[in-house]
Amino acid sequence: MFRKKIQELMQSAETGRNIITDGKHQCRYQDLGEIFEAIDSYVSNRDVDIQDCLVLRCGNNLTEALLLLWQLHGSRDCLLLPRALNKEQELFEDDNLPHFCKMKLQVEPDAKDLDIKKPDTYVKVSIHPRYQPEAKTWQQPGYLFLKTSGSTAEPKLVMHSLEKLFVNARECCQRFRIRSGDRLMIPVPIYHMYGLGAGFLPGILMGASLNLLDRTNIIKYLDREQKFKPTVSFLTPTLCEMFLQTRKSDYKHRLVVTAGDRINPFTFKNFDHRFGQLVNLYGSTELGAIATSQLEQTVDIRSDGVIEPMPGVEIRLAGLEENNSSDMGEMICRHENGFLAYLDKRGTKIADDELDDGREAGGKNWFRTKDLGRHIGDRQFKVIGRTGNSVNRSGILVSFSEVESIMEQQISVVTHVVVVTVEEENVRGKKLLACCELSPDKDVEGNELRSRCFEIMPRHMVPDEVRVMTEIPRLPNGKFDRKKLAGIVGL
Amino acid sequence: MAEAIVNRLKKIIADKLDVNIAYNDIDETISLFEDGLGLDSIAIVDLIVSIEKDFALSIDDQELNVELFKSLRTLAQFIQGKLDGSLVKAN
Repeated sequence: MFRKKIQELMQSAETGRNIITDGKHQCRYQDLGEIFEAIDSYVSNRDVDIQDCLVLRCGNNLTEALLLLWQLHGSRDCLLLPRALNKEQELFEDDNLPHFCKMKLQVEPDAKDLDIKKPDTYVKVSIHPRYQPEAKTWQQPGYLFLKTSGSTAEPKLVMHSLEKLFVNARECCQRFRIRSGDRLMIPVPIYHMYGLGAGFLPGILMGASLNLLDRTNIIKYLDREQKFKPTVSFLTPTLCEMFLQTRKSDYKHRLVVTAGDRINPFTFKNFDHRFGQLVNLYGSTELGAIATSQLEQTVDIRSDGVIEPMPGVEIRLAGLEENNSSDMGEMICRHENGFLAYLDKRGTKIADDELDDGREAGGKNWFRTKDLGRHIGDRQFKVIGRTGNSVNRSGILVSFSEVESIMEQQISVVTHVVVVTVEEENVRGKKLLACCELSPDKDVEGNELRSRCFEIMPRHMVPDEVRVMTEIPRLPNGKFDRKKLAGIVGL
Repeated sequence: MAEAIVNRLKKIIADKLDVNIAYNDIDETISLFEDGLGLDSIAIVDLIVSIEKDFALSIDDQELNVELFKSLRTLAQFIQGKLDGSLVKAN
């Protein structure tokens, strides 16, 4: 389906001249055939077969986007990962790649003399040393693998069929009324389901002009906006806040999509008034877009967070039966075009009954979102917040356990860490407080530990305060008592 | 004059932004973005807001471009120009 669609777009007078750009390089839809042929020829000379699963580390650069499109166009298997923070992380992650991946595509988006039509100027193919052909347990290629954030458990791989992914993308086109004449600004990462499934793929399917922004900030955005004149943009709540904080003049988009934490209604309305119609999108790596605001809704309803499921999605609230005093329950979803399976980091399928976040809790094919929701009328919902120990900061889900394990592993004096969230918010989202126990006889200030965090984790994960404690309270079973801790630290 | 502005900018970055960079470690010739000082998107917004407050000036959307943030020196020159301009207007 995708291959046919791309052929149509390339040949159409309406879309052929539309562009895909990252600000440094650009190509037209009509060039895609030539580029894909060049990549085909480049990789086939390097022992890459149509059946092989390839790893692609992807940022929002044209080179990486084209390699991703080439894989989707050829119905190849692809493991899509974010670019590593540094060389050490990349080496560590490469050591843990699933064994069914045969090759890695290493892209140099800033290569000198880069020519989009000459893949040898920006991509290298390397063999995955731990590749095991028998680890691939399916016959025909046509799957995309994404990594979960690991917010609630060990990171897992999520297996999607490309066909279903395209159906979802088409639903997003319809929900957001994306047309070939639209100009889409995509500053959110296309290796995440939001940027990929709601922005990049729908834009491609409609043959719209796309502008990809890598490592976005407001300066880069404004620079690009002045030249590109977007009609639709995909932002995070943090970016929306930044627009309001720094921009003196208004710019009316036809539509702005935001996903992640809810924006407070006052900010939402202010943004909507100044920068164009704002809609919420609620989704996950596993199910893609689950529900969104409807374009027909008034700004009052949209800013209140009321969302309607996408076609093919069923949502029910768990726990309502047992607790009649509350109208809230955990949102459990079923999506006919959702993911197929979880794989562990070695690439082995995880059986449903082994899943620690238990899809079985909702019944077969029901997916636990770990978000609390409330019914609004027959079809609509409101998302209230996370049920577990994680928060959304700067548009990215931060799990407390991930911050804890990085600090414990990489700061030698720290023996135990428990992260709790403070009700107060700053521009990154809910404030994080890390409480630490140190090795005996070690005396290090909280501020010094926090400084170290800047070096060992991405900025959005750095706790807003690090507090050294003699003893973190524990439950009789030895686990940390987060509730008691919250009382002690005065939350 | 521009040197004094560079130093004021360094003080803003070291004291007011949540970036873990010491005053003496700031090189005024490198980019403010990830390929230089490494200010992330939120720190950049904080910097703009602090500059507007500290120097009592207003920066328009059209003036905010990547070139401006090429280094603290280019930013200081821009601020100098804005201050000179407002002085001319006042006179």
